[in-house]
Amino acid sequence: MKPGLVPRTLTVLSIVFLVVPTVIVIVASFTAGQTIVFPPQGFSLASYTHLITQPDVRRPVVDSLFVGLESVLIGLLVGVPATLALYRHRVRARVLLNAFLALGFSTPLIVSAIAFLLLFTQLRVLNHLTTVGFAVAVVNLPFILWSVAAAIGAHNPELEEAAATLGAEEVQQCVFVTLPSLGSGIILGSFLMFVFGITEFLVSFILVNVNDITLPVYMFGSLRQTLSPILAAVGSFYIVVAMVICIFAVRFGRAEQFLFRSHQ
Amino acid sequence: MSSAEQAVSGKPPWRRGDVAARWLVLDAIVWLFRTLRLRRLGRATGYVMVAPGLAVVGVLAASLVYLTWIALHKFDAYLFQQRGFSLENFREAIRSGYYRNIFVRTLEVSCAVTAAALAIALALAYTMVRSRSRWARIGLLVVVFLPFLVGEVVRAYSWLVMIGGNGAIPWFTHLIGLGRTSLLGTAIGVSLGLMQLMLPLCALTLVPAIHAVDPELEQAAAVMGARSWQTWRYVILPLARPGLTAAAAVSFTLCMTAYATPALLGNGEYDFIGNTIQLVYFGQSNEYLGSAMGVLVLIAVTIGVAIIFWAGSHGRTAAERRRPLARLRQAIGRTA
Repeated sequence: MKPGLVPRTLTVLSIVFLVVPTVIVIVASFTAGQTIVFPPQGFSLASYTHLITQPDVRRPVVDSLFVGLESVLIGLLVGVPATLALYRHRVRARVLLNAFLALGFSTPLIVSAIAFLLLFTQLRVLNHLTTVGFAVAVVNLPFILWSVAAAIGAHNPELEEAAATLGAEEVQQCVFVTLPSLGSGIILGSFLMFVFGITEFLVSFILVNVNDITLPVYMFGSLRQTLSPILAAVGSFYIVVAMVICIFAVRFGRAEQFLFRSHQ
Repeated sequence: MSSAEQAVSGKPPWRRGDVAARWLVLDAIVWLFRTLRLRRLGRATGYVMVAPGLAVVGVLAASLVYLTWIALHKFDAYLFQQRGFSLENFREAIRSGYYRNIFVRTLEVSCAVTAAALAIALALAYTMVRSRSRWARIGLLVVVFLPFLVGEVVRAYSWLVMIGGNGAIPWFTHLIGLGRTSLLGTAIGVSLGLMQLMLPLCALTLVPAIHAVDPELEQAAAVMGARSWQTWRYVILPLARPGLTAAAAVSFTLCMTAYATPALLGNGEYDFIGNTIQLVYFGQSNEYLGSAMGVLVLIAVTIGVAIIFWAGSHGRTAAERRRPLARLRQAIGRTA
């Protein structure tokens, strides 16, 4: 049934509510002034050039990229085999293991952050950005677990048997049948791990030291002062990355099928 | 020797003659697997593959255990050393009016934002599911998915630009003659910032739930003479109840444990429990009290989610829920 007037009005209002702040950030990043005021004064690309030239912004950008890539690496090395094991091999207590692997997601983020802080202080590993990347990966692990699990769900296991009847041995089956089929799930999971790694705030905030801060932590710190357009440029950068991944998820990640799936 | 005989003979693949590169790489992998005798793992393969994941998450589990252990110890602030086993931290956290106020404030805003998000997200999800145009559905999907991916700080920042002193909303209210009203530091400001995430979250959780409602049920209800609010009350909402419960649970949890949004939009005047825990840790250097408060937050969120799930499955049995039209007929009969 076509949605009535009330749902449609609320939907339009919601879209405005969700889109306007994002658009304003992008518009504000092009302002020529030193602070962000309304209406915007002038048009300039100064804030974007500052992103690249000013070292106190460039360092957090690099550190965030490092944390993001480390999250992806840990997610791939740890999450993909774990999901494959849980869904395609016979493992006992599968539900329990699934719930355990999602611990980073089910525990409130502030609690996980301070728990990590306590443990890592005792282990004296707090001086490295690698530690932050590890913590962020643990907290975001469910995203790659769910992406790969969804891809496994959509994959027909009989395809490997068919390949076997054609003469492929296990490694060939894996490389030519399994991996391409799971490929989009793995890639989507990696993108999600990356984006949630570069945008992760709370755990990084609690765990970083003064020398190596990530971009969201830098943004948070700077926001206590004036509303500088450089932060709008950073925000726009994040928005563009998010748009790219969004479009990828919808086009290749079968987001539509996932959302509009039928229940039993 | 033919390449098949070479493969069977167990010689490493780089000793062979004119075989295409791709197959040499593949043969190298097969040789690697054979020499590592991975097939011997057999039934243990699954456990070996899941072990790194368990180890990695195990670090978090261990740190949570350590957190609870710390929370249960007395702390001497003068001598700055840890004393014996005691529940003193918990008592202090619960007794203090200051912390209680912040906790109640967090709870109130979480419930209000969750309720509002669910109501509006229902409309949003319904439009997404029942829209005739595929492009409208995809467009809505992108608009709704985007706030997830930009991160908490950018979300709060975009609302800071909107509602801050020099922002868009004060400019607008000034334009229509209401004077420059800044929403910073108010409950509304923080709630709007939280809605930026909760609305998409609830919408995305509700889409599969509403999609599961057979459109023919709604058409049947219309044929029976039901008005649209009756269709919602007797057909759509009961059938979408599991989705509503899940959305409510996640939204409640995220609101209770929000950090950047209340910190930035609250302007330091509207702290949530998460901000307070961080202050206790770093401002007072009291990791014992902070850990106790963390454990209390964990318990509170668990109880809240349990209540939500109880409310979501309480009442009608699944069999009754599968006959929504029967109840609708009763309801229409009563008002006809």
